[in-house]
Amino acid sequence: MDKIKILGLQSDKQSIMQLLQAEGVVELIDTGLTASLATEDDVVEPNSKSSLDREYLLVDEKEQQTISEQELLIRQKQANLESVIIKLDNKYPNISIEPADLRISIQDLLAIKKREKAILSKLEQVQVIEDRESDLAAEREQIQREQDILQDWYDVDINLAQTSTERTVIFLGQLEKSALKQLEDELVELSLAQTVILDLFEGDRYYLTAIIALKEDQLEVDNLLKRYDFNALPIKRQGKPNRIYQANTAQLERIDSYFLELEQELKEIAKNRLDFYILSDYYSVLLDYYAANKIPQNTLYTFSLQGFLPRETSADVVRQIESNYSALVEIQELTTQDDYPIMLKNNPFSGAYQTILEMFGAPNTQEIDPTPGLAPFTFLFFGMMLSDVGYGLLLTLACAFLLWKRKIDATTESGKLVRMLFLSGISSTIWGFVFGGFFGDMLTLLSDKRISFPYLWFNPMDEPQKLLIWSMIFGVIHLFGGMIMRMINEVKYGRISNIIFDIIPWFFIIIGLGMMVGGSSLNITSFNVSELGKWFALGGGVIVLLFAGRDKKNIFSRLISGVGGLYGVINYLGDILSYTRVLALVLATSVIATVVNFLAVMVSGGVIGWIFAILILMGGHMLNLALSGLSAYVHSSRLQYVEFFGQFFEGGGRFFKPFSYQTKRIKLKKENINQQEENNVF
Amino acid sequence: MEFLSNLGPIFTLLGAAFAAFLPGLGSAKAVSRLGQAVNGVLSEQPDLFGRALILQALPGTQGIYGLLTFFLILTRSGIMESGFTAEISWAQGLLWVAAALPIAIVGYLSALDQAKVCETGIALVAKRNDQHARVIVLAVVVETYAIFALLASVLAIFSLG
Repeated sequence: MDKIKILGLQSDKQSIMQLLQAEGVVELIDTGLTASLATEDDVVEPNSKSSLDREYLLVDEKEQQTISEQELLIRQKQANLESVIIKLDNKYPNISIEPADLRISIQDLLAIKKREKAILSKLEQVQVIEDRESDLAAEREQIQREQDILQDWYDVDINLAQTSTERTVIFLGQLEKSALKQLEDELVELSLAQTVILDLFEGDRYYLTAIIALKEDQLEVDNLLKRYDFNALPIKRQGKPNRIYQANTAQLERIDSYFLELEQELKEIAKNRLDFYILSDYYSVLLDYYAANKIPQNTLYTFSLQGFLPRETSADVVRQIESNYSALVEIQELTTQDDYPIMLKNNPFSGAYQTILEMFGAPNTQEIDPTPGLAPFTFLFFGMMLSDVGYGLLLTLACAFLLWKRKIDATTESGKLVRMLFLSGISSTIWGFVFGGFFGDMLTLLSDKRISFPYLWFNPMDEPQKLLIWSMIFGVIHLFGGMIMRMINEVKYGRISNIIFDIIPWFFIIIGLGMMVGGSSLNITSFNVSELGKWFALGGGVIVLLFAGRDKKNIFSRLISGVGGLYGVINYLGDILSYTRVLALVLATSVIATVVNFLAVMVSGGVIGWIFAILILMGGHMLNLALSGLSAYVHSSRLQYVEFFGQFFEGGGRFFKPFSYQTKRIKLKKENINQQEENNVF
Repeated sequence: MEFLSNLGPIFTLLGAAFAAFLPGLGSAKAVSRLGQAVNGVLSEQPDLFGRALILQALPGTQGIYGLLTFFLILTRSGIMESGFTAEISWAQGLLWVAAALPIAIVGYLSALDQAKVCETGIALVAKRNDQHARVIVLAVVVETYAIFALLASVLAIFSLG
């Protein structure tokens, strides 16, 4: 990492910032000394400022303000875009976008600005269409409701608008059959006998009636009808019911065809929604640019800027700036003592496992990159835990499909994960052959125990104790790997005594204890393995006891520290036992697979039986692959974080985040924009 | 006294049932509680569904471990093949029960405890999407003990038959 310092002219500031963003290799340092601080000074001692300075401050404030306003506007536009994009994506997930991998050149991204107006007007069009569609839907519902009622009234031959005559009012509506008699009686009782009830139509449980009352009785009759649950006809339109019904039907057809037209229009727009994607990402890039623009420190005519950049790119960046602008550029080579962000560089294999480290956190500037140590062990443990040829191949093929057919971007977070799972799938396949698993014991069960999938080493279902021992042995190797990493770190720090007194004795103690426990089963007769192990462990133990507290002067406190150091054996024991999870997960994968096969064989027989069996096999094994795959991933990561990193990792760094084109929806082709062509790209 | 001579298979099945139902119950409770938490988060951030689903599913593994133990006990004790007529003495039957106990009890309790970690984790992910992986790791630290219990049960089962 290098530190870059740029001192340039205000007039070049925009261009230089844009150049840096396009290059995408510099992380800007926000010193926090922006205009806000300067204005504070201004308030405290207004008179001490020269007139020039104050003029500048005013300008700067104005500039900041307009930038903020612009940002706000862009944010609003982007939010509108995003909401429409999400709607279209949900509505037309099947309409594909060209190009399918959403990869465009930077020129195309920047060129979208020329079409911004057109795209935004299209966006408005979508919103208009949606408004109209919801209006239409509401109207349609209203008409449909009328139609439902009119269906009952279809054969009634009266004008629905006729609700009164000169001296009478007419109530049209539905009356329960059982209520009719009572209503008539009560009308007589209340001396409203002039009221006439006409049955217009007889339904199953009700009459459609026209109740004609004198105008002076209107209120009383109305109240009475309410009590009898008289269901008044809500439609008061000119014409007979059947006419209205037919008119409504025609109207519905018109609405439907209009709706289809609108849908077609929307579909056309959805086909071109790539423009929306690009514009939304363009806004993101622009917002990043505005945010970065607040970082440089300004004077009236110049600005100054600092940033971190990887050493191999620094010469190129300096050349680009100095050859195009009259700016002063200084490169300061940083040493590990300085504080700078971390960028990891690994070969393709280890790089695939970098994502596991990135999840945990960055190493600090002085220690070793743990990825090369972590990668082979994650490969090993993931493969062991899943250990099935069928599952491994499925995982590998699925990831290969994503990587090479769908061209998923391997630099994104999900792309890295897929790359790691691809390798892990290969490892699972290998371990599947080692332990003899192909979708559990599918072959054995389906062939009625005539053939079984061969294993290269042993079958953990038959000899779980053997795998128990071996998982711990692999664990010890893993821990030793971590201790070697610590030794490398100690060499970097120049603390050789730590290696001799704190690390090497533990190799002897762990190996010695292992020999003591397992020596008798090794069948070696030329020498006594357990006896040798005892001396190994004792020797290591004595060194720890004597030297763990070597910085203490007092002999007693030194010995007490030594005993405390020996207590570390408990930690190591815990760490080693933790690796027995490998056995449990191996068994979990294969036993669940066995259960699935067992269930499938149980229902098999006959055509229907076999269809069910195949469904059970597919569903069950997919589920097991998902669950066991997740377990394998999570637990192999955990073994790295807790057991492996526990040996040496200090951390506390932060990852390098260069100022660059960050897009969310589209992907950019890797090519450099020709800066000379156009100085202001936005 | 035919009943007494059949106590062995009864005990064995009882042990297997313990292994299946206790962790299953714990997982069901845990997953249900997390589902409610996830629903709350989804009302604000529907995009988080995939991530939240994984967190919800984490305490579901205990139920699977229980089922796995259930299945192992049935096959290893011979009940799967010969059913109630399997030749198991009552003392052997009790041994199978003992073998089922670690995963039955630890599976049940650890599912509930893991759910607490996941629950706060879902709240964390709702605020900071990038912390998803760390939340998973923290939750899995709890699951470690369910795995050890499973290991204890499985080793006992393998040494019994």
